[in-house]
Amino acid sequence: MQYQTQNIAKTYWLGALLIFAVQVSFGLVGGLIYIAPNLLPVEYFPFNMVRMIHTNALIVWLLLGFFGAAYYLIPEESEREIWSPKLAYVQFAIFFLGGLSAVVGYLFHIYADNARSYLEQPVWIKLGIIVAALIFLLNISMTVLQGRKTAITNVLLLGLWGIAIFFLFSLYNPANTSEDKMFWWYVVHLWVEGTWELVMASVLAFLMLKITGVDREVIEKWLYIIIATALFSGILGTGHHYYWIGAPGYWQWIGSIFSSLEVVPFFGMMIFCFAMVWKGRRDHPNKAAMIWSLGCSVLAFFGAGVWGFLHTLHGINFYTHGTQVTAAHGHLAFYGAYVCLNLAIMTYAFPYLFNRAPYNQVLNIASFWITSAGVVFMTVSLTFAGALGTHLERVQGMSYMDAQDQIGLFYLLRFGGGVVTVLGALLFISSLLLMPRTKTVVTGAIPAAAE
Amino acid sequence: MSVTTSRLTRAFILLITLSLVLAVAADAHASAFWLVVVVLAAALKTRIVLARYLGLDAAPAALTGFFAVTFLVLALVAGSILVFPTPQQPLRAENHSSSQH
Amino acid sequence: MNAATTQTADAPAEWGPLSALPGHPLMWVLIASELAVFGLALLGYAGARAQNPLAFALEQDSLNRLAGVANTALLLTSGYFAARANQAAHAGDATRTRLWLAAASALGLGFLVVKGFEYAGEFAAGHDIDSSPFFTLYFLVTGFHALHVVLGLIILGIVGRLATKTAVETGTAFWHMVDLIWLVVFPVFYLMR
Ligand code: HEM
Ligand code: HEM
Ligand SMILES: [Fe+2]
Repeated sequence: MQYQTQNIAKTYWLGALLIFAVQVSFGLVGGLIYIAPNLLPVEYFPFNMVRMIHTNALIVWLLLGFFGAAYYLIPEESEREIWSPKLAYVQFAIFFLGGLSAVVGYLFHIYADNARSYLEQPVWIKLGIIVAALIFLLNISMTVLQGRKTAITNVLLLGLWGIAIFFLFSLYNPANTSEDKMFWWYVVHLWVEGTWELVMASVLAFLMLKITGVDREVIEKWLYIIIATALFSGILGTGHHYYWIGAPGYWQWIGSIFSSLEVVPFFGMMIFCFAMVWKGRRDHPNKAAMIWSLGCSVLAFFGAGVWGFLHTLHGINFYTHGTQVTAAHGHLAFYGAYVCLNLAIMTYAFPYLFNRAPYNQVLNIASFWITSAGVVFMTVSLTFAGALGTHLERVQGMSYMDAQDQIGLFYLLRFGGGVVTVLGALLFISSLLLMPRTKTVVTGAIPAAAE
Repeated sequence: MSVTTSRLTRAFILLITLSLVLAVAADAHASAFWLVVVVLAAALKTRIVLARYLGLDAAPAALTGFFAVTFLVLALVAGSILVFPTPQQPLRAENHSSSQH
Repeated sequence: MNAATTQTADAPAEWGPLSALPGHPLMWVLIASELAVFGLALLGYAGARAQNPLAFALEQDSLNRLAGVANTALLLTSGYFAARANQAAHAGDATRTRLWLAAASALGLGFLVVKGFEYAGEFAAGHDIDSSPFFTLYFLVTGFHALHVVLGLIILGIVGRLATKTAVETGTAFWHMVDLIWLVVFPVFYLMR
């Protein structure tokens, strides 16, 4: 670790890992309710509440992870300490406690008045989140402005500002249902297929820079091309959520065309990572970080790119809208793009943060394969469930519950995949936290930036 | 930027000529023959713009790539028209009453 | 590591295959993206037409073909002027660069005027973006193209002020792309049947 304030990332990431564990566990509870609805007392575990914790916790820990990544990589890129470490911890306290109390609130059935998936925080928590976001933006913007400006920090900053700005749409809850849906998508879609992608591209660029030692100039060019194609396709790509919510019919064309092109940046990121590793001269000791990075780009391409394209044309979405196909895509896309991204940068950074040579590599790499296998298996099961369910219900006209009965087997399989996923996640967390006693002096092993 | 003025001017004249061919071809009776003429003339125009206006003469690989895209689009649309032709019988009379010319 | 790395773009060799292309390499990323968008839209047109060729043929026949031909000539001439502007910029002649760009822009404006009259006629005949599959695609694609003409005029204005070699090369590349797209859009909507 070259800068003291990179330590801030520790706090964020430990918080993130905790919520990660909660998130996947509640996924498992949801999966259990699917196959054995009466096993758990429904007063304590109503499905809607379980689902809400699963998805909201996901967003909260991913964001915590992004904050951590920013606090970790900005000092190195800007070549200076974070502007105000104190504010960074205040921000963490607000954000973490806000997220936690929202979850505890759900447990006691205190829900938001205007519940929209992923944004089900009560208003006062939303305001807290905004305060935290403002503190964060102030803090990192000051750091970046005073320090060295690189393409990586510019893109990261753009992405993080975008995340905060689009979150503001969550405060507006129009009475008209169509409008309400639109504003919801302005947050959800423009996050995961816009601003978060910028974060993903810049963090991957940072990782490639450090792990492979390829010249910064080369990496920057890739970064620019990736974000150009991401923004070009992603913004009007929002149209793929306008098909059936009351927007004018021409959105079917706009959405289909632009969102098809959203595959391009994900493809670009995958090619980028492999090209850099191929070209790289450096033999970085942290193999696990490299595997998570490569895995991130590949699984994001499949989850977002391939599974997204699968149902993004309006002629197909007409049938698959809101089925298990959507859930299949949601899982692999979120996992590949953003879960793996966070786990990659954590795997890379933890040894430096704790002043050790890369440790528990075998365990960590095993956790990559186990968790990923679990998620892929869940995705495939849900894809079958979705395709079959769509056919029975929407082509043959079977009633909803009858169709659900027919696809029960796949829910069982999904649960199996879920168990593996949770085990993999716990393995990952232990591989990071169970450190060897000896503090190896790693200063010599820290590769200098290749520039 | 290697295109000289005279090459540029020749490109321009050729483009305008081809546009006239297109206009005439299109006004002729709709048929597979004229469809092919339209596609070829239009494709040739895109190639000239790519090579001379956009200066891709200097980057042959890019010229081939971009031209492949424009040509493919035109060819695929034309192909689909040949596979799904406009039915000839009904409403022929109305069809001819277009009045803009 | 020095400040040079933070200024992007101008070092040509690092853009790989994009380095060989005139103007800023990212402009070519945009050009490729735009071609993809219009290409997909036109393939979508072919698919939609295949489901009802007769309706498409009738509505296609109601378009003003003469206006389309005139607009093609306007854009091609404008493109020629833009290419001359580029030559002038390379010769370091800012005044002539601006004159050629102004001429190119004037014809671009002419394109919009003609298109405006066309749209007015079509609206008057009761067609709009929701009235039929053909007109949905027609208004979407030509409207989106017209928006690019507007954007192109703004870009030409900006690079005319700068009048530097790279700026003009980049700006006119955008303008030629708008031209190029029209050369594909026009035959598909107006002529091919
Ligand atoms: C990392 C990026 C992405 C993530 C995290 C993601 C995640 C999601 C999630 C969670 C949903 C479900 C939303 C809901 O209704 O509750 C969804 C829906 C959808 N996504 Fe993505 N997605 C990503 C990228 C893409 C891409 C690139 C495409 C297209 C190529 C795409 C196409 C779709 C479509 C069409 C739907 C609507 C499904 C329906 O009608 O039910 N997504 N996405
Ligand atoms: C890191 C891993 C995971 C990620 C990123 C993730 C992500 C998501 C997302 C984005 C949704 C909303 C999907 C939509 O709106 O269509 C969701 C719902 C759900 N997830 Fe997960 N999840 C993960 C792990 C799990 C696990 C291990 C299980 C266990 C079986 C699970 C079970 C569920 C269930 C049951 C739902 C609700 C589906 C419904 O409403 O029908 N998830 N998850
Ligand atoms: Fe989306």
